[in-house]
Amino acid sequence: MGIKPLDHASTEAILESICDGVFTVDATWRITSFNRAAEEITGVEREDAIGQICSEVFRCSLCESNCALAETLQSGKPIVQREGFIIRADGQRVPISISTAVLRDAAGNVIGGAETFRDLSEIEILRNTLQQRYHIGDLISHSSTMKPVFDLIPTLAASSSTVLIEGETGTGKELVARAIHSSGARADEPFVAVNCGALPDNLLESELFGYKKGAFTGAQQDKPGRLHLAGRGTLFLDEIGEISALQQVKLLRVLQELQFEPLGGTKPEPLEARIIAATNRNLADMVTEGAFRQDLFYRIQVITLELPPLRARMEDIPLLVAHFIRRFNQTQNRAIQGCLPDTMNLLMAHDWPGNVRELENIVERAFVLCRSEMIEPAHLPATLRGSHPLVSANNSETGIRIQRDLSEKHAILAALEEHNYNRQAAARALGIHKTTLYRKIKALAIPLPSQNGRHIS
Amino acid sequence: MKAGITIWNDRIAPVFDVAGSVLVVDAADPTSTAETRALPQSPFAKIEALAQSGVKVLVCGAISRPLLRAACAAGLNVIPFAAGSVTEVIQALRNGDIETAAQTMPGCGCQQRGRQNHGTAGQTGRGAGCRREAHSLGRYPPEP
Repeated sequence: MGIKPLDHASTEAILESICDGVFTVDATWRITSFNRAAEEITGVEREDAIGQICSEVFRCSLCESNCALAETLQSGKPIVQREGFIIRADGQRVPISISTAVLRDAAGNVIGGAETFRDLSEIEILRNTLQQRYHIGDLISHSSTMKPVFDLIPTLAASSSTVLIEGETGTGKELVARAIHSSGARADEPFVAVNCGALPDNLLESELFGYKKGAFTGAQQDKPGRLHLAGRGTLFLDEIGEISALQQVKLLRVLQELQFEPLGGTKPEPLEARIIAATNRNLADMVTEGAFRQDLFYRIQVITLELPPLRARMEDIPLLVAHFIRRFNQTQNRAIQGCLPDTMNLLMAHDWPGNVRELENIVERAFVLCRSEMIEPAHLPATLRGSHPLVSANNSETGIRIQRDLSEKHAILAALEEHNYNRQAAARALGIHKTTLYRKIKALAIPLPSQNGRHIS
Repeated sequence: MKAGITIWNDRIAPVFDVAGSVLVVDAADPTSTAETRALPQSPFAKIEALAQSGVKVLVCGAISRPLLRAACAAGLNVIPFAAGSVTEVIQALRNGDIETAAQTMPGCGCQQRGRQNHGTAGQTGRGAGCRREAHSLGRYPPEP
């Protein structure tokens, strides 16, 4: 007995039940069928899609210059799993893979094409997880506290507005500035960094503005300033809070007039560079105290980006350690595989006042001392080994207890900070008695400021 | 007022993020001729190029959210998720009713927007909505 071919209704039922999106087009590129999965993936309902031009329904990155269906209809050959993305009505990019085939009628005549597509979002998430991203330039994190920073960088890269990056020392302010520069249209132009805090006042002025031959004794030839050298690129002014009142005025004038004049020069040059400033100080407070000009403050803080300290994104420590180990292995021709669990526990127990830079230095130090494949607690500085009262380097105490202590420590610190170090209010917020809070503060060696916050909240 | 329309096959290009060319027209001057320009490959460079060339209104097809935000931040008034022939769009621009006259892409119309909680009745925002994005960017302190 021969096998009976499926009727039209059965074929349609199968198309409706599969997870891959399927649509077909006629010879004029108008959609003739659109299955349920296609509706779900694209966000377009069947009745809206049927009869429409496929590129306006599908909105795929491949439509304009790399259409798989067009290729298939031209060559007669199917295409399998070509990757691209579509854009849904809410602006969300959905990664997909596309396969195509020629559609023929019963007589074998070409009547259009069929395209199947698969939502790769979950695979993409898995890929990102495996590659431990977010990752822009040298900036790396998988902490939710850094997500707003990563989200904002592409937007900032596309604009020319002045950006102020705030964050504690060592949090990676220059990396963010470089990421903004290299993600935008100025990527091929120079990135010039000046550490305003590292230069004496008069030297900073000649570094920024440059000078002409004969401008002062010893100026034997023209020297272009950083403002000139940055050209149409980016000038990164680190530690902007450290510049003197006089230099503040001069910088303000540059930002207002969008031009500058080298020392001893007679002709102003236009400022074409984008300015990104950074500080580890609270400029708003400095304005209140009269230590920083208010007009300059408003000029530079058109957009402000705040970088969280490393202690607020402790989950990044294993990722950063792996990143530094990989980098030092390359630059120092070593083959260190990673950290022992006890080493990682000690790293997780530290408060990181020096942030990512401190962590980088500690891993570099460990590379010098480590002669095995794994970094051991002994390779860490003594200050780290003694930083957690409940952990010692040679103690193979279970990690669970240490992790619990760490969680408690972070919760207590967060509550204290939120309530301006008012112990009573913090204890109430944590749902514990004040005495218990005192005991835990002592046991976990939580540092407290001299003020107790009672007068504030 | 200069307007840019990303084009492909005499229609609005389906995806701004990968659009190859833009038609720049002076919407206020019906005697002016439209000029086709190539767009840079990098998505953000497209926005920079448009802003630098003096384009104030961008009519485009689908556009991803980060790019829409960037376009708004660059000062462009974006008519996103627009569809239709270039001739119709130019006519609508010159009539001054582009926001209401331009077709929207399938699935991006008012009914769909309502269901996806985009905007409210009476708003002309499309898709991801430039104005909403511009508003959310407004949290950054503006220049005094």
